[in-house]
Order: sequence, then C-alpha cells, then structure tokens
Amino acid sequence: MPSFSTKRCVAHGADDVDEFVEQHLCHASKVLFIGTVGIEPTSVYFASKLAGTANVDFRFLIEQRTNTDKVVQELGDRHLQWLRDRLAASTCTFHDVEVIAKDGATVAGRNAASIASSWYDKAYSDIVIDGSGMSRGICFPLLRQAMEIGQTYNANVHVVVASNNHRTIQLQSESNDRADWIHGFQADMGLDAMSDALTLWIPQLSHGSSAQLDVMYRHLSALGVALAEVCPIVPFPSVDPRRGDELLFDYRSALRGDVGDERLNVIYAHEGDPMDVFHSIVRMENIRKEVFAATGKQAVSVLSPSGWRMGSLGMVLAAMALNLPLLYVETIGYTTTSPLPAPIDTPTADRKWHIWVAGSPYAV
Amino acid sequence: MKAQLGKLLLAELMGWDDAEATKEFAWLKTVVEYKYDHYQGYNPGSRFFVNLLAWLAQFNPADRQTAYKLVRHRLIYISQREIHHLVGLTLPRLRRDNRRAVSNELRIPMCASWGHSTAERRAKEMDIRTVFIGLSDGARTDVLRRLNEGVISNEQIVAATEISIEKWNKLRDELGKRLRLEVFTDSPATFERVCLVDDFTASGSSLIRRDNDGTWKGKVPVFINQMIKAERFGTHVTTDCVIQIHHYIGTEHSRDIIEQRLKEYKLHLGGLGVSFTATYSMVLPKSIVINDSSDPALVELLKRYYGKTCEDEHTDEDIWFGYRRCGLPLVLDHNTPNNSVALLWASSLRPHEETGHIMKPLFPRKKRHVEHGQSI
Amino acid sequence: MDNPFKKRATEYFDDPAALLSLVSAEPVRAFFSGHHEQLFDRPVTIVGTPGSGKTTLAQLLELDTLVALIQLARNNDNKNLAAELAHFRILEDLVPTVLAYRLPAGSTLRDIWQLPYSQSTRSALLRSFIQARAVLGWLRKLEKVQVKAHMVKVVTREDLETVRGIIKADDIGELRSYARDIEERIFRVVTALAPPGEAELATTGLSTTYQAFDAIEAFVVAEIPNVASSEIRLRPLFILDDAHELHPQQFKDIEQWFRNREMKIARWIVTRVDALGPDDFRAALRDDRQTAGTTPGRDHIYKLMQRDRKNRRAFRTVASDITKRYIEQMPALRRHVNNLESCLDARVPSLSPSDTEKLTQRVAATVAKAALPEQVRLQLERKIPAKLGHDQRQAVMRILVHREMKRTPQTELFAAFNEDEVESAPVEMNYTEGEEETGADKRKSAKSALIAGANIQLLHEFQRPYYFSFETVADASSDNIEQFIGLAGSLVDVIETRLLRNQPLWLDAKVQHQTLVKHASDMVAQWNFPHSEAVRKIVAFIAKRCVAKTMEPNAPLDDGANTFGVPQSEMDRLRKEGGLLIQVLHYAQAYNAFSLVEEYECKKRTWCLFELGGLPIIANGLTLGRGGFCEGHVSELMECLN
Repeated sequence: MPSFSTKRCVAHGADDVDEFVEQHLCHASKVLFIGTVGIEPTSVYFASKLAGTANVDFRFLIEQRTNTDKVVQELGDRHLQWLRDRLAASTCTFHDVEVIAKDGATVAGRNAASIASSWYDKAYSDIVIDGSGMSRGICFPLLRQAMEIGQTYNANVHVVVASNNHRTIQLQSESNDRADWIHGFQADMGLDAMSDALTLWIPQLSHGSSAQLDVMYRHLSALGVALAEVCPIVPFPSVDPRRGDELLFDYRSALRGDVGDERLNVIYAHEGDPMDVFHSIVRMENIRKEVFAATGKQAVSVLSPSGWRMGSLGMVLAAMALNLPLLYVETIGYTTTSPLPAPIDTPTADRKWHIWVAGSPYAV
Repeated sequence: MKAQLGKLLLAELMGWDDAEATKEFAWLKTVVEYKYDHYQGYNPGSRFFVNLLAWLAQFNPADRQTAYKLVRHRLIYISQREIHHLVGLTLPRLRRDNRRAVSNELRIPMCASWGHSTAERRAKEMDIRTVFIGLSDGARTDVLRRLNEGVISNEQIVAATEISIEKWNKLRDELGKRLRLEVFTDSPATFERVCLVDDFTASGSSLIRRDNDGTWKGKVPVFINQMIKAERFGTHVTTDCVIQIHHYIGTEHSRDIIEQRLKEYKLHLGGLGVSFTATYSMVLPKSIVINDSSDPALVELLKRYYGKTCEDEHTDEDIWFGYRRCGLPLVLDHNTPNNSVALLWASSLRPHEETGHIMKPLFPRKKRHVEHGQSI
Repeated sequence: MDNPFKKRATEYFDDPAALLSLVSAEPVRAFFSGHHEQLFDRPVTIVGTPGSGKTTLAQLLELDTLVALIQLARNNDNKNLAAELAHFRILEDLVPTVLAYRLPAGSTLRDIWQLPYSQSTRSALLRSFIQARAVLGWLRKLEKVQVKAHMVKVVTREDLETVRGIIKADDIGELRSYARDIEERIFRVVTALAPPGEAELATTGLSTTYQAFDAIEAFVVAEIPNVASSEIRLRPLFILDDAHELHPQQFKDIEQWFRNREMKIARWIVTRVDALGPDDFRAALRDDRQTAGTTPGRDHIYKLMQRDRKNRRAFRTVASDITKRYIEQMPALRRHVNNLESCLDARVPSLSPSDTEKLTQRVAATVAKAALPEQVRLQLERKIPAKLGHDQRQAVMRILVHREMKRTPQTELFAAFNEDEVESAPVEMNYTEGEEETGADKRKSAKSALIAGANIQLLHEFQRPYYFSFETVADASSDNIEQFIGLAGSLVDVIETRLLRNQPLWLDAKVQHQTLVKHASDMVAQWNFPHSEAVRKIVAFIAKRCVAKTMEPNAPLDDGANTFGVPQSEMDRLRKEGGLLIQVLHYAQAYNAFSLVEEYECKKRTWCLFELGGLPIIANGLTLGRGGFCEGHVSELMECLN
C-alpha cells in the first residue's frame, strides 16, 4: 500500500480524531495497537477509546530506566493497572523495554523494534502506533517499522498522539551525555562519504533542552562535519506568545550563535500542529535543495526533535518522507517534586492528532 | 545610534551595576537585532535604542524599572516573518473545514472521505469555488498568493472588499474556466465559499458591531450589504455560501465577541441563506492582557503618565489600557495597534494639564484610519 | 565568532587557521615530552575529562592543520608551536611525518555490540569497520591537502603480500573502493531497523575481518603541494576518540588488539577518566610521572591530560597563553587590553570599617575568654607576619588563640600538614616546582596556608572577597582548559561591559569574587549529565562538611578542607558490590565534580579521597590549596542518594 508524501498527508485533529477512532478503527477487521504505559493519563487515552472493541490486539511497552522517581514509578504502575482492569487479558500484553544499557549507551529503539517485530501478522488490517506516552527514541523506530512491515501486508498504518496543555506533574528529566541517531533514522550519517557534506542542523527548541542541544552540537562537531547552518524551529504560534523569543535567547549559547548571526535561521511552526511542522521543514528543504544543487555540493539536513510531542511528530514525518537523519539525546531518568496527582478514571485530551501514514487514502 | 552607545546610555539611565548591565545587554542584543530594530514605524537612524532611551527618560528614575519590565517581560512583538507564517496557516485551516463540510454533505465520517472518489472530487470543487477577499491592507493578499502559488489561482484572491462588477465578472469567468479544466462540467460557476481575510482583531468592533440605534456596522455588514445591493448572491456567489472570516491574529476576547455577534447578525439577516464562521491562525490568550487586576505598579504607571491628548474623535476616553481597554502589550512589525496600552504607542499633542508631562512612544503609531477608532 | 571565550574547547574548528590562532604550545610540549618516540610505536591510552584539550590535540595533528601550521610558520606565525612539533619529530624541516585520522567511537561502533550475533562476529565487525574507516580517513586527509591519488603509495609489511592483495593496496582507487564497500555493508547491517540473521551475515563474508592495520606501514606521497615537492613518508596514526562510549567489552577487545607488537601504525585510544578501572588509573598515574627511558619494555602507555595538582605553575602558563590568544581575537577588547592578568586587581581587600569593628570585638572577646598570660599573647602576636592587614591579623590571632587553648605540650603550634607539599594560598606564592622542600619551606607554606584559612573564615563570616587574581582562576580550573575558559570568560564579560560603559578596565577583588562565585554556582546548578542530580547532592554534602571543618575556630587543617576521605577498605567493598553509587562516581569524575585519589596514606591509615573540583570549591567557599580532608564513611555518601 502506498504511503504519505510531502504532497499528500492525511491527518485529523481534535474531535475529528475521536470520530476516526469510532468510525474507522472500531469497525476495522483487525487492529494491532502498540502503545506505552506512560506517566500522564493521556498515555491511555486511545486505549480507553478502544477498550471493549473486539477486534483490537493491544501491545504495551513499559520503558525501563534506572533512575526512576517514586512518584513517577507509581504513576506508571497506576496506569498499568488501569489498562489491566479495562482491557481483556486475552487481547493485551505488556513488555519491558530497556532504554539505556548499563554502560550508558542508548538501546531503546533497537530493543523496541526487536520486541515489536514478533507482533506483526498479515491478518492485521490496521496498525496503530500510539505515541502519547512514548519517548521519541522508541516511537519513531516503531513507526518506521510499522510503515515498512505494514506496507508489505497492505495494511493501514496510523500514528496517534494525545496530550494536554497542562501536565498533571512537572517532570525534570536527566539526559544522557551522548547524542544518538534515532534507530532506523541514521540515513548515511557516519559514513566516510558524508565527511565533507555541508550539514544543516534543524533542532526543535523546547523548554528545558539546553543541555541536550549542547550535547548534540558537540556530537555534530565531533563528527567533523561542516555545520553550515543552524535552523532552530521555534513554536509559533504558541500558547505563550513570547515562548519562541525566550527560547532563542536562552539557547543562544547552546546554538553557538545569536539570532542575527548569519548561520542562524529561525523556522516557525505551530506548537500544536504537527502538520505545520512537517510542511515548514519540507518548504525549507525544497529551498535548500535548489540552492545546493546549484553549487554542486553535497548537503544534508539533520533534524533533532525535541520533547515537545506534537512538534516532534511533524519532524518524524519529514524524516520519513525525505529520508533525513534524526539526532537526539535520550532521557535516562525522570524526577519530580510534584505530589502524586489524583487518579483519573476517564482520561481527556486537549490536543489530539491522527496521521494516516500508509494505506487506503493513498491508493488513488 | 550605534548599539554600543545605546547600551551605555541605557545602563546609566537605569542605574544598572555591571552584573545587571551584562545580563540585560545580552537580552537586548538578541531581541533588538532579531525584532525591535526592524519596526517599520522607525526612521533610519533612530531605531530601537534611541526610542527606548527617549521613552525611559520620560519617567521618573523611580518608575523606570517598572517601565522597563513591561518591555522586558510582557511585550509581545510579532515580526513580519511571524505574520507571514500566520498567513501560511490560512489555507490548511480552510481546507480542513472544507473537508468537514464535504463529509457532512455526503453523510460520511471525515476519515472515510479520504480516497473516496466522490468526496475527493467534491473537495476539489469546493477548493476551486472559494474566493479570498482581503478586508484591509493588513490581509497581505500578496503574501497569501505567493505562499500558495500553484495551489490557489491568482484569480481566487482579491485585495479589497469593494470589488467592481467588472472584477466580479472576471473572477466568475476565470472560475468557469478552471472548473471546465478540471472537468467539473456540471458545477455552476459561482463561489460557494467566501473567505474574508484580515490580519488583526482585538475587540471585534471594526469587524462587526451593533450601534445603539440597532444598525449593524463594521466590515462584515458592509460587505454583506454591498453584495446584497449589487445582487451578487445567486449570480457570482451562491445564495447559501459559507462566509469564513479568517484573522491571522485574534484575542480570546475578540473571538468570543465575534462568535456571539455573528450569531445575532445571522438572525438579523433572516431569509438570507449565507452562514458565517470565524477562524484564526493565532489567538492571543487572556493571560497577556493588562487590566486593573494586573501588577499594581504597572497599572499605576500606565495611568499616571497617561495624557488625554492622545485621544481623538475615534477613540474612547481614558485609553491608558488601549482602545476598548483591550490592554494588549502587543506590537506588530508594521504598526502598533491602538488596542495596546497607550504608553507603548501614544504621543501627546500637548503637555498634560496638571503634570505637564508629554507622552513619548516606544513604538510610534501610524494612524491608518478605517473607522470607529479601530485602526491598525 | 566574536567571543572566543564562548567557544567550547572540545569542539572542532571548521578552519585550521582558526584553531591555530587559539592553540597554545605548552600543552603540546607537556604531552609529548619524555615519550614522543613511544607514542608512535606502541598503543597509547590518553585519559582526560571533557575540556581537557584532547580533542584539540587530535585535531592539531591532522594533516590539514599541520599544513596550515607550516604555511603560517613560514610567515613567522605560530613559530613556537611549529618548533615544539619539530622537536618531537612531527614536523621535520617543516614537512609533516604523521598522517593522523580521528574516529569518534560513539553511535555506530557502540551499536555493533547490540547486534544479535556471537561475540566473535561482533568483534570482527568492529575491527573491520574501524580499519575500513581508518583507511578511508587517511586517504581523505591526503585529498584535503590536494594530494592526488596517483601520487600516493601504500607501504605494507614485507611478509604480508597476501594481505596486501586482499585489501588491494597496489592501487589507491581500488584500496579506497574496497574499504568503502566494507564500510558501507557493515554500516547497513548496524543501522538497519532489523538486522539480518547471523547465518545470512556469514554469506556476505562480513564475519571475517578486513585486515588493514596489520599490513599497512606507511603512506608514501610524491609531494604535498605548497609544502614539499619531494617524496614524503608519512606514518599513519589512528586515534579512536571518546572510547568510553564503547561497551566495556569492546574497549577491552580493542586494547587487546592494539597491543599486537607487529602493528606498525601508531594507535591511540582517547577516553574519559571514568572508563578506566581504578587499577588502570593508578597505572596511568604512575606512567605519567615517569620520564623518558624508563619504560622501554612496556607494551602500552598511559597519558593523562589532566595532571597532578603539583603542576599548577605549568597550567598557569598555559592559561596565560590561552587568554592572550583569545583576547587577540576580540577586536574591540584587544585595543585596550592584551592580557587578562593586568585587568584583575590582585591587591588584598579589607573589610569595611564596621565589619572590622565587629571582628575586633569578637576577637577581643575570644582573647579575654582564653585568659592567656600576657607573655604568651605577645608571643602569638609576634608570629603573625607584619605585612598583613588589620582584619587578617585579627582573624589569624583568633585561630592562634584557639589553638593555644587546645594545645598540649606535644602538639606543634602550626598544625600538622600533609606529608606532600602544601600548596600556597593565593596570598603568597612560594611554590617552586620539583624541588625538594626544606623544613623551612614547609613551615613557610604552612604559614601561608594558615593565613589562607583565616581569610576563608572571613569570607564566610563577613563575605570578604577570597577568589580573585589570575592565578586563582587558573588554579580553579582543575587543569581543564574548558573550565578555565568558562571562568575567565565570565570575567571577560564584565570587562567588556565596562569597556562599553567607558569605565576603567580593571576589576577589583570584590567584583572578581562575585563574578567567579556566580559563574561557579551557575555551572554547578546547570550540570546536566547522567546522575547529575545525585552528584550535586554528594557535592553539597561534602562541601557542607568541609565548610564546617574550615570554620572550626582553631583551623585544624590550616586552610581548611576541600576533600572528603573514606577508609580505602570501604571503597574496595563498594567496588565489589557495585550499584548506583559507583555509576554516580563515574560521572562525577568525568565532569570534574570531584576526583578520586585512592590508597592515600595518612595518620597510619589508608584512605580514599574525594577531592572537590574547582567549580564546587568556589561555589561553596573552600580552599583551592591542597587542603585537608574531612573523615567520613561511604554510607554517608549513600545517604545522599536517597
């Protein structure tokens, strides 16, 4: 089955997503649903919508990190129990996935893909990756894998994400001190042939990611690649109209340049709309291709998705459509000073998105 | 003025020590180069620093910190590139709404419309039969055109609401050609969707309002009246067309008001089959608004240094919180709306009667007047 | 780049000339002295924390940098650096002798370990990939300096004709395309979402190793344009950087592999200090102290990028050189200033009159309470150096009085100091490197340490500035170039602001102190590496204990403590048990939060010491001198983790 492209990408937002779940997924012949037991209640939003539907096989990953706060652990346990209570035991299974190896290497994506590979079956008409509770290092490889396998089975492949404007707890994340290519998204980075390619770095800015930006910059620098330009993506429009400006100011050191420096070119993308992120990157890539084709030089754009979920979804779409590498820094643990929030029986979501990445809409 | 000199004078004016100066200079370096110096209301040679110094100098030393904080922590400056990005969000929004309309028409869920040949054809037809009309210069129809080159025809985008009959006919003819090109042989060459585009609304009053005597005024009623008078409904535009009013920037306040008023206006129109919907590329949240419950020092500053001579026959009285008390700390690249707090844009014609104070603007306003006080 | 102080020392420069303008010759000299022959004929493990200068060194040795240096040297620029490299035979008559290639170990190499294959297959893949990349890298470096393919010949070992044939060394084009083929095939296996099965892999021939390192001896180049027009023989140098990012098993594998004495290429492994086990680290320390000729039989060498605190003078020289160069690159500033030292007031500050009054009263009260005989009191006063300011005199007096109160006939008036030399406090610099300290010297430095202790007490009691002067900045850098640049940079920022405000370009002790303390505190607060939160807690705990010790009225450790000591046996046990604390300690060392000194003998016991790094020291108001240590237990550190 053909898939989305830069010219056509089917997406639903807000209540249209719920309609899609009710009208399409609930009536699909057989659905493979891959999700994560997460920290926020939105991580079980879609599972709650599909609970009771006969045709769905649920597979949940539980991300294992060494550094886990008690409150965070409890929330995970709570949502695990929530799922167990509401989903028929015969249809759902839970799987631990190690995120960071003992020596500090990031192994999340590889592990997740390896675990998930055994779940696929040509009987599935629809494959859904629920990224609501998933970290990028796991969600994106699973999505790519779903697309590759799903296409050979002629299945519909979907990614869904739900989030709330306000989190129930404030998390502080501790990042790894090395940068990694998201598994399956290394493209040709690291090959000798790319050594002299001009590199354009497109990092997505979000709150609290200054250290990661720094680590990524050093990684790119250590590769010896010529970093020709840095194009930070700032959230605009945003719930906070000043957010973009503040981020650019706060991160000018991590970006090695102040706005106004030649190398820095700001890209704007809607904070809550992954399609805008996707299209903004595509637009920029088209321009870049023209420019570099004229010079005859080889150039590559490296994308770095941030923790800002909706936006990073747009990035993975761009990475898949244009075969671009994704560089990131994995989180090795979460801590919080917030108290344990009250349990929620029926999760709600302020923001929802569904992207139909492969299948019937593209068959025309 | 060179940035170096500007910073030097600023530090003196503000009484900063070295540590504070170092910190603030860093912020200013970023934001001035990035945004403030590009303000179109400035003359070359007198950009941000000059204006900031003059602005701060009008305050007593004890008040300067409060004034500076307004700029440092609350000011929202939307640059040209940012506005262009908002323009770019128009079509995706429209397309999404069109698809919903098509799905409703065919009584299928939206998710089933994708790849559904009838739905896809109908959506394409709807796209072709849409006309974009800019409600003011701020609509930037040239940018809208450029960003959507190859996707929206030039003959679908028009720059002003008072379009002549010749122009309407031309639009209709071109529409007919496009429909035939795409083999929509049965479709009438009339626009079924009119997208009225404008850049900014803070109070909704220039868009649509009801005067005390019950007459509906504002850009939308003016447009509708013109269309009725010229008998466009049924000839160039369908009688049950959807009128989508899209602003690039709105506020929560204006969004609520406009929604309410459009409902009332629709009732007022009675038999006319058109429907209205209002959409925005960006909505400024209530939290940015400055009003009586904001920081007392700031409120006091805004009032104490206010001079009535900045009012004119189009504005209300006592607009220290801006026109219609919108209380916005907002500056747009090409001009500062008068819905923003007066201290940012106002200049006094004469000294204040009692205090003798003369208001100096930080981002001076060009008065581009439309009507009823609201202008941008 | 307008402010080089904002540039990270760990980063690559796009342009060799930019790098050369900022590189100092001293670290190069320090690195190569005593060993330079051996650094090229046997495996070397280079150890340092991030920012210690290892990346700069690696980049310096690359061919395009050397060529740029040669061209500059011809114009009398960077002559010192060129001279040093010539001294160590890296340049001969302004012609390079080395062809270096640096491969970062992270990502792809580490990922090989995760493949679902036997250990021997994974080892073969790792070795093949490294060698293929090295061959490609060397060829690319040659290309970069305009050496054409037909001008290059590969010299292989005489007895290895077969291998020469397999890697296609006779034809550069084929050598390259074969290496590329190997590289790409392994790369695709490693980066695939789902790798092929081992059986399938065997059919591709990738399970056997591509052997280039065994065979290659040299690259002979007909000419290097603009450098040499006659034949040059280049010795290949392979540098595996950030080797701590490999899996420990891979690390061992490679170390083992590199020990093959038959290998003719030079091979270096650059790693972070926490990747070494304690035994290896001790071996590294020993190696570091050896001089030439004492290690002929060793098959492996360690080089430390960050040396003992003994060598402060050396680092001060480096620091001074670096700042000069950096300021050179700042057009506005260099018109007014050419070195940082001249902007930093080194005059000792005094307390305000009101604080002095308070202090005097407090000391008077202490003296009164001690009820010393007048003669004793005068004797104490005479011991205090005359040139000290009134406030310092008071503070020192107070300490002496407290000591007198505690004194038994057996104890010395000046507290016992550590057996090693005592570092001078910022107040006086009596230190002479390498010479044996006489008894008189020791007493003199002990006095300095006591005065420093008094000053630190005044810091805590009255906020009297303590951290100022260029030497302090250098000493606080933990021998780490990047840390130094950060500290110096914070002062340069303030100087720039003053320049902007047309104010005099010198900073008094108070401004220096406040700036440095703020910078250090911010840096510590911003630590964001694995377990940084835990590290912060441990550092806070140690600092608190050290401050308490330092503030003891009799200053038992003279200038106070900046180190926490636990019995070595407890450390050994902890190592055996493993666990979270071990991991935390690794990262703490890697990022200069503190360093570990093991097997330390003192007071007839063996200790493991946790020496705080320069930034936590400054952030908490402790001595930068050698300092003493607080005694404690591993269990207390464990408590911090809860």
